[in-house]
Amino acid sequence: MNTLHTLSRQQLELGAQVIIGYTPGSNGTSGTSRPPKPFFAQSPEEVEQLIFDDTCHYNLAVYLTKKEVTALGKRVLFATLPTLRSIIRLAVEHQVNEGDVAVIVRANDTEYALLNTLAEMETFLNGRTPAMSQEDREQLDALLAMNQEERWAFWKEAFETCIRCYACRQACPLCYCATCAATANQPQWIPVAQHALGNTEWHLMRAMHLAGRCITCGQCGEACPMGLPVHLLAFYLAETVQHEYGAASGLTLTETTPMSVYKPEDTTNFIR
Amino acid sequence: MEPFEPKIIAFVCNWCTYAGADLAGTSRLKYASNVKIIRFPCTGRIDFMLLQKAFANGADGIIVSGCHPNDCHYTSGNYHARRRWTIYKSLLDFTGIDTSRIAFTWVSAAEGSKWADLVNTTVETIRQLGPYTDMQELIGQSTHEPQ
Repeated sequence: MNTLHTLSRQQLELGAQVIIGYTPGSNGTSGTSRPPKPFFAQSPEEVEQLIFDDTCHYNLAVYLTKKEVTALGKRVLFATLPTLRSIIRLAVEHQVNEGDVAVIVRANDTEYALLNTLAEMETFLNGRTPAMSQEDREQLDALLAMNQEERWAFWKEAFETCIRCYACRQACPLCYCATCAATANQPQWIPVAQHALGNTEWHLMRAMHLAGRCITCGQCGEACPMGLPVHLLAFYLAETVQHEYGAASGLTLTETTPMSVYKPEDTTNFIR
Repeated sequence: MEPFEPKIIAFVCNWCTYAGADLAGTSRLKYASNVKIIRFPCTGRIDFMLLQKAFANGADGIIVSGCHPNDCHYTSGNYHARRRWTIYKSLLDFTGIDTSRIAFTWVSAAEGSKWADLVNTTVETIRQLGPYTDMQELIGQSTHEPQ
């Protein structure tokens, strides 16, 4: 019996309806094991299957806004740092209320801690903001070093490859709109067929709608079945917003939405 | 061969730039006729998707214009628009879409001559750049026609 299971069972006894955590991934056909997969534990027996270690990295906050999950009642989430940031951001956007969610975090390599309130989550995040992964940093810098034609060639190929499965949207904890503008058809902003122009518009729109909100968990890129680095669009805008307006997302409960507010003294150098 | 006549779409606000363009007309200022003006209540209403649609449907250049900061009829629409354009422009730069084809400007209701100059210089810039084919190429490679 470890503390993770004890904590989880206690929470179920105290009235939580579901523990959303991880369970070992299935083995792939090539003999390689897949990363731990999400697991919903609703009974003490199911709790036994939960794990939470270094290999657990899916952002489970994506389930918080699904109506099937909100209908369950109080939820307890296993939270990595990006998951915590997602919850803070969802709270800022009034998608998660105090008392709806508690999280179990890894306080260090061996210990787990329960955070019951949003304020506790905010405090836990303080000083624990991970930087972009080295791989992402390098790819982003490589793109920024290119000239305009090279960048367009890169993204054009990516957008032509996209199969518009919307896995990026589904994996994103902040893409929670009940009706996405990409699938709304009155008016139809983006042609639904999988072709390069619609794909381009889709990815630009997704990036714009996440500007100032993306918490840079990178789940969209990881979810992409075609292996496209679509997360870099959102990462780049997150950096731009940080640079232009000094606003990061998902760190404090009092933060604003940079694209919904303004300052008269905002500066630009391109508007004549 | 006919010289290339660029198609320019101008997204302008009702209260400043549209009135400015009106003033250019009543002042009998001559300017290039390549521009098609679309009037909006406010720059705050000009969604970035409208610009995408203009390019997708064959615009060679775009003008986006509204009230100077602090002059917005609705107090703050242009401030919101300014943030949006800043982010949108950096996204287009990042993806390699040619932002030199979009002119972001402030033109007040009193600046009829600024409007005429703006249209002339934009048309000249786009004429030098030639027809915009990036988005059309995307359509050409697709199996479905966009709507």
